[in-house]
Amino acid sequence: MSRSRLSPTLIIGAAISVTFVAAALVSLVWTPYDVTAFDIGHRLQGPTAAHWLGLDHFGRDVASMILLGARNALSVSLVAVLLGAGVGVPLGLLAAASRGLVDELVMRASDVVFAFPALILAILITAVLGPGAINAVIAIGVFNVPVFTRLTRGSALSLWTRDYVLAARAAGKGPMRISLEHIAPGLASLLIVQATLQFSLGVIAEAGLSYVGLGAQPPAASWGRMLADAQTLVAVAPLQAIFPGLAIVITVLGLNLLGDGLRDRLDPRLDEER
Amino acid sequence: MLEIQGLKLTLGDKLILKGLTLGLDAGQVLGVVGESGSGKSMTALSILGLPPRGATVEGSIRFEGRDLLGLPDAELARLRGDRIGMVFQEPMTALNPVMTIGAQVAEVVRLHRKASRAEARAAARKALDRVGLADIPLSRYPHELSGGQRQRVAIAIAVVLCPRLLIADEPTTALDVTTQAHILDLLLRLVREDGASLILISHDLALVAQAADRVAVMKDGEIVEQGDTAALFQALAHPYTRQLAADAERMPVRARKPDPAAAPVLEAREVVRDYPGPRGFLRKGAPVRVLPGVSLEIRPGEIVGLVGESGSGKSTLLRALLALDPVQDGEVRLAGEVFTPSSPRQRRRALQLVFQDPNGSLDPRWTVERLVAEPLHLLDDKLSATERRARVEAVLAKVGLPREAADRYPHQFSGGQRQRIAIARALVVEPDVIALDEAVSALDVTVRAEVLDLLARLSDALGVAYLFVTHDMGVVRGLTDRVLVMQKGQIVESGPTAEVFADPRHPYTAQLIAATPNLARALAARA
Repeated sequence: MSRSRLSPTLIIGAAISVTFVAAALVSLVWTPYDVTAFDIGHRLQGPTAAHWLGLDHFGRDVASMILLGARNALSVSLVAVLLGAGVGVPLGLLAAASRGLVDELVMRASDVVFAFPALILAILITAVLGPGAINAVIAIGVFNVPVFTRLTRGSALSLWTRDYVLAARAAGKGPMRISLEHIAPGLASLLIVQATLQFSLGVIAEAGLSYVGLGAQPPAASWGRMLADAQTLVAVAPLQAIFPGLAIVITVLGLNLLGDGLRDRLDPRLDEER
Repeated sequence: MLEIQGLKLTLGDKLILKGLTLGLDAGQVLGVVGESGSGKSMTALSILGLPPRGATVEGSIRFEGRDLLGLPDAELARLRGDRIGMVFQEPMTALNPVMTIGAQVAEVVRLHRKASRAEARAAARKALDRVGLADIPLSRYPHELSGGQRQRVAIAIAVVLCPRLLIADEPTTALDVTTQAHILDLLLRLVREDGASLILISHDLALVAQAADRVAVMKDGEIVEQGDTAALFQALAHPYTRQLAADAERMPVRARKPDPAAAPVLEAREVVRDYPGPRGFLRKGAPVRVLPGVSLEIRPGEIVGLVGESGSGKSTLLRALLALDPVQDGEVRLAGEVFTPSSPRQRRRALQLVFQDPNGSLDPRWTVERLVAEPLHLLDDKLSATERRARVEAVLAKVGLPREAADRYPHQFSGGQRQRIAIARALVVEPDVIALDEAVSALDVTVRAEVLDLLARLSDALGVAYLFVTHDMGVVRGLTDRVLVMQKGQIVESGPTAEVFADPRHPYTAQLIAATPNLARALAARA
């Protein structure tokens, strides 16, 4: 392979993503301050040596909130991607393996889900099920499903025409077994790239849902919720909006860079240009 | 007219062309032969000034008195398509699928001449008429044409401005035998009419012997021998040329003769196969009948050739025989029992398959052990890991590969070795019949001869029968006991190979035999 092994895109993307995940993990065991402790006297205080990112309108430490928000964003979008891939990939494999009626049904169903704008659909689902982190996961997961179904089916169909699949059929293997042994491993790199990109979309969607009050509920911290709270105070304390906003932008950028970098490295369709 | 001296091409740290010296006079046809990877195509691309990215080219290529290597890109671009034309192997990828053929030919004219749209169209029409597409309108798209017609369009693009030099890189390899002969005749006629020179690049010694005035034999980036065609083939002075010529003609010797009275091991009785018609919205079109009722028999240990052009129904018949697709009427019997897609999988053991392209037929992510062991799935008794390993090693030994090969991946082997792996996979369940779908077509002559030897040896040793599906009449003549000729879904002629070749009954068979390049015949025609 003549392409360089590690592109700057991949390195920067991976560095940001690792920081994001590390922040989320650290928040499990330690945060600079307890976010349930209100310091009303110093509310809306700017950054100081003790509170690096200042205090919010309840006097909670913003740095601690950002760390907890990272945990919330990570868990919601990670589970949503796993849910989307967990349902979407098998459906795509099934559609590609069976063709005919099953294929039609699966694909038309995913068309229907696709027909709704993702965020509107998520708002609909959380409006029906009620707000909360778990329902946000379900809502985001649902619109991840057709993305994975389509990608899996499309690429699987092209793998099904390979001679080695015909060889496996001549060896008496059934469609399910071929899907697991030959097709799925062939799709792995493609799916990893897509999962990374869906992950970043999940972070945005989670922030959006929390922003409109349908995501994680207080006292759980969420970047979207922090933004919503800061909005009313933006004239008095602009920094309140900047820190969670930066957290979202940098995380999403990092995940996208990681996805693009991985695509350059892994996507077999780009290999043909060698 | 063309004078190449000390041409060196380096890609990365690899020396791909090691100082070629070649000359070509006006009106001459130069054949360049060699195995894949010998640098034939690189030479052609260097002449065009289109070496792969990152390659450095040294030496000199003088064309009509100018050194092409010193010329700036813009100058070279002006030469390409105008003074030098190029025809590639695969016409489907060489043509733009979203442009009409007329526009693609006219584009070359408009690029190089101050021609109006109408003049360019007229020139395109004339060029297409010249290549024998007089009844095809300019407004057609490449996908609406057959492979042979597409290659004619590619040739029209190359010759529309009457270039002084035409380079054709394996121009007939992707085409059917009878089409091959027509395309070759067309190329030769065009260069003769224009007084142009032709560089014909091919892996096929017989084809070059038939067409070229001079021949250059390439190996590992060097020309090992060059000279006038007749003299070169008469003398066969260089050992490599001698080996190539011998391998092209060599056919394996078989010790065992099949018993003509034995019960057939694989049998098709009036097999009918339909494909679903073009699909409309929510409805199916009328089915298209591909096989109207085909019968054949293969006896134990027999080698049967099935020949025919693409679209003749060979592959469809093969898929029906392998019970990969259901048949609409008639039946396939394997080892005396009816064989359908729903037959118990144990029954598949008796019939295994080897494909044309070993790159595509071996899953690149699997080790050789896992690949070769895949059909063991068809056996009733489950084998332990050590038993499985032992069987894989035993069968690898049979096809001439070391036992360590089992732990490696397909990409670590050469094309010939990969085909041996594919043969090992077919053999591992000790089948009665192996179907070989163009199994040696993608291999170089020397490797092909080795694989054919191997197949003959295995047949002698194991008594396995082969169904050899191919378009290569040379292989059929050398290896098979019996031949079936297929045209438009029907077997139009069948009989013992020697008899069919000596006295073909069906005109199509005669046409196939005559169209196949043959070294001895080509040299005899020259003398």
